[in-house]
Amino acid sequence: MNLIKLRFSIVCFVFIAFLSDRNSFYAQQNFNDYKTLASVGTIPSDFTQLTYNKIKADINKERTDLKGKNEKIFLEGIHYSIDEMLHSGKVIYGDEISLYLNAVAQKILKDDASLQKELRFYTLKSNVSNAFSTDQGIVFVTTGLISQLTSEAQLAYILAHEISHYTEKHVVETFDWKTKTDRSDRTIEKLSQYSKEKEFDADKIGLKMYHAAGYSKEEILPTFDVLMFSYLPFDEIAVSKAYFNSENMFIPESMFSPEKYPIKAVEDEDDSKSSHPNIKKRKDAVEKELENLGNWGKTIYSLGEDKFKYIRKIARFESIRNDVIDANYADAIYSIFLLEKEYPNSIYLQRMKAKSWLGMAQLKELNKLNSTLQKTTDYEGEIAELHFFLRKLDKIGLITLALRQVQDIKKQQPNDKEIQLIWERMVKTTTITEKFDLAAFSSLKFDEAKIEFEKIKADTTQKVEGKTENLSKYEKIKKKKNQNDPLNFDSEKFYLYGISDIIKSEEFLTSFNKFKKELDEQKAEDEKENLLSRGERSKLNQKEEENQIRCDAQDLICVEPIVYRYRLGQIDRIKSEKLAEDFVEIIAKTSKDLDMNVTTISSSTLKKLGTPGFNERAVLLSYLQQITNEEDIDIFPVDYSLLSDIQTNYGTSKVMFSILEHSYQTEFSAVLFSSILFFPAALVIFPLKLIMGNETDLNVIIMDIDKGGIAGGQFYHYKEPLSKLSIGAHLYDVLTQVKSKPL
Amino acid sequence: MKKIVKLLLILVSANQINAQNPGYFGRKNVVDFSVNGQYNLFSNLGRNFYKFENDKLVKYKDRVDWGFRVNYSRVLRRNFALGIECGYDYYRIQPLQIYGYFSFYPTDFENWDVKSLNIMPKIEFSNKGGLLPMGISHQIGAGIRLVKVVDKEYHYVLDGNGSQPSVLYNAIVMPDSYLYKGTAKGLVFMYALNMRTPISQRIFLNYGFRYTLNFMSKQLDYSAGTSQNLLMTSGEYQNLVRQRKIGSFIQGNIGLSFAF
Repeated sequence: MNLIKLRFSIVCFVFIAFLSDRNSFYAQQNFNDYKTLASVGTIPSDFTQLTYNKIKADINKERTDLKGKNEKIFLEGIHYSIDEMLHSGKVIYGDEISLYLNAVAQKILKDDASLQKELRFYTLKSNVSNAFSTDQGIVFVTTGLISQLTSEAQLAYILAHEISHYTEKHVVETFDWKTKTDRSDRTIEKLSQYSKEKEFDADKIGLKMYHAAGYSKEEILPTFDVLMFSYLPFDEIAVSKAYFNSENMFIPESMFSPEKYPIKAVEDEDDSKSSHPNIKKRKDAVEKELENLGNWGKTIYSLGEDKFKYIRKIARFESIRNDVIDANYADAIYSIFLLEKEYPNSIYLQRMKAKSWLGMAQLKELNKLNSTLQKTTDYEGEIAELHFFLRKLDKIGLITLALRQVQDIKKQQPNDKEIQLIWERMVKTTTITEKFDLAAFSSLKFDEAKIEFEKIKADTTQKVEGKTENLSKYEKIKKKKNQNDPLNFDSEKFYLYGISDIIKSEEFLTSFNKFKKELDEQKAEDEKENLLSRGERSKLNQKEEENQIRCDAQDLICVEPIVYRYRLGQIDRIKSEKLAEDFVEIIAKTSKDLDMNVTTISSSTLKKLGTPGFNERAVLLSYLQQITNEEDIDIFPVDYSLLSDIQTNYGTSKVMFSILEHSYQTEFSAVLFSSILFFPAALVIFPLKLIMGNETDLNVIIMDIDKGGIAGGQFYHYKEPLSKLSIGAHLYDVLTQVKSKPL
Repeated sequence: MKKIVKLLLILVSANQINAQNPGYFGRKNVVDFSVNGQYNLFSNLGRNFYKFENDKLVKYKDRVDWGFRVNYSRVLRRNFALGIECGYDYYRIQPLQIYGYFSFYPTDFENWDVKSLNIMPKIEFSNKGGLLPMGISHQIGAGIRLVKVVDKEYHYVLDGNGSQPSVLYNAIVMPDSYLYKGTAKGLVFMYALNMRTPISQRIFLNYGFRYTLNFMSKQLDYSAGTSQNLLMTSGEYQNLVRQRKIGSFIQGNIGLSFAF
């Protein structure tokens, strides 16, 4: 019966996907106001079915050739790892790219109706260029890969390759090989060799599918070029040295690298430890196969070239968002530079640009920006020039340039609330930056100061000296520090002439002074704290601790609790998932007891919440990822407007993330030792160890969408046996605090 | 007693200063009912215990003591509580063979049942992530112990030549006047590791271990011990009690707790 239901749901999904596909062709993205890709339509069972149910269903179906324990290990392994990805917030379904993937796949599988039904194609939001298929019949393609392709046919070949992995059961075969091969024989080289054979197989079988679908022979070899160079940005265009110049900011050429950085990738790189053969070997093998196949089709675009370019553009727009989430701001700026040419007025690009500059300024303020930039030894291609430039800028230089950029964006989009908020945070960053002294900036623009300087330089040196000889030592120092003095002009410090308009702007000064005042007050507060006695400080700390998650909130969004139950040092996936279900149930019950509205968006509630809930969870997880990537900075949310929508939908800005971990481990060596030394002691130590063996950690953080970032957190470590009641009591404590007013 | 009442008042008034602590599902008070027992590791060493059975005194090994306790605790912070407990412990002491009072000796005596009333204020605390009253807690307490011989008929056997096993002799009821009737007072210091495992939102199963240090007061009623009829002086009695408690310093307990 379950089998019938499962098949029915798959058929339904394919049918719905087909319908959605038809509709989506009319719902085009407006790249000037781009909205990040979200899932569309009915939520597929891949996302709603709990993992242990999937494993159970697979065991009942005898889907693999494995038996007994090995089958269980295999199914647990594949289902849990893939489901973790499905619920990561990065996988989407029913969106324009996924539908496009489906449509191309339908063409490849036009003669195989059963495979058409079996396979599901989802988009993975990641800048890593990759596609992979799973044993359960899911094919993932990353936005990074789509952004690199140059034709639909190339995508078709990649999909055909992945479908071949599925039809040939390569995943299970590799697992089987690993379990049957002696540990001593299981070297990386041997595993690599085995894996490469499977890749050659998939290239070969995929080629046949591709051929049968009528695609052009000419697109095969370029596909391998795409794969080889896909680690580079989606285009290779030099960033103009004048790109960052504006009416008020001028950056001298000396700030840019005098050299070009060659691309290092080669076709015949050492692949002895790789899972895939090198490109040369693959090309050679495919070329041989090409000769065996006749009657090649001519299709490069079965769905139209425009459609392909449109889809690729979506992927390229997505790549910026991915970079901002991962704090790869320089890469984001480069992609914006590439896309801006076509969409100079895109509000999406402007916002992402402002976020990137803000992020860079915040990291630079903490001296952490360089870790997000390419190492000098890794410089490659045109993007390297941008990394070179950003690395060369000193702290004040980068922060000033960031302020300039954000200010210019604000000027371009004066009514955009999001940009206004980014600008405010940018101004705040300047106030907390040490040595960012407004007095140090010139009221002259770069060219004005330069002209003055040249004018004075043209005068006789004697005259110039004569002007200062009557000054005191201190007046001379002051004069040297005064950037308005044309004599102090230094092209290396170009940024000191880059915000001459901003430092005169009333809006900027008001904001700057407001934040400065807040900062001074905070400093005074800190100093006061330093004067407190030990007891008073401990009281204050206690109060701060108590206030961590007190936010006077009646409503709360709880996102996907992460639950791990360990058994003998390993995660017991099935028990963990069941506990996660219990956790959600406990939250529902506890919130009811406390008369609170808590909406839990998790795997077990997705069936009820559907696609809107799925998308909301993705947005919240992205924000969490952003925060955890750069936890030291007051990060600006990548999906600010979507977060605001969530806040409006649920009537709360408070979001709870939680991690529960439990293990039971006793150190019986102490018991043994004491037994040997003095038996009665074992009678005391043994029960103690037995009672104290439970270790549970519950971490809760409350995120505030409105204020941005983490509002606070609570950590519990306790040793009682794990039960619904013990979790419930702690969650009761958490929710009571969330509901309470700060002390 | 006054002090105990004062302590109770403090505990109850703590309700107002403790608004930020939600306790266990909002419940900050807990009453524990538990029985405790201990395996006597040392009490039997080099000593015989006698019990009265079928008109005879029979040697046996005194292995287990027991008692019961009631405790009330008030949670003041998530990981800190104040409490007060009282309870009775029941155990036995074996009067030494006395030489001199009887014309036939040595003499075997039935062990004396002793009950001790313990009253002890205590603190409870758990680690930082703890959420009292639930879960593991460390308890430290100091209180008083009042020990008294249980008033009942005891027996003895006169063993004239010592060559015959004493069980052959019928036991004789000991005259009431031979018993020491005073109360030995002492101090007790306690450390306990206790676990309250929730069974419902109101009830816990509690279990754990405790270690005690017992000190008997020096200011006992020695005058009672001067009576010629007594089998032992109060000092000897006190000594036996102390030895008995030192020899059984660890005990386990199990019971039910009710949160409110």
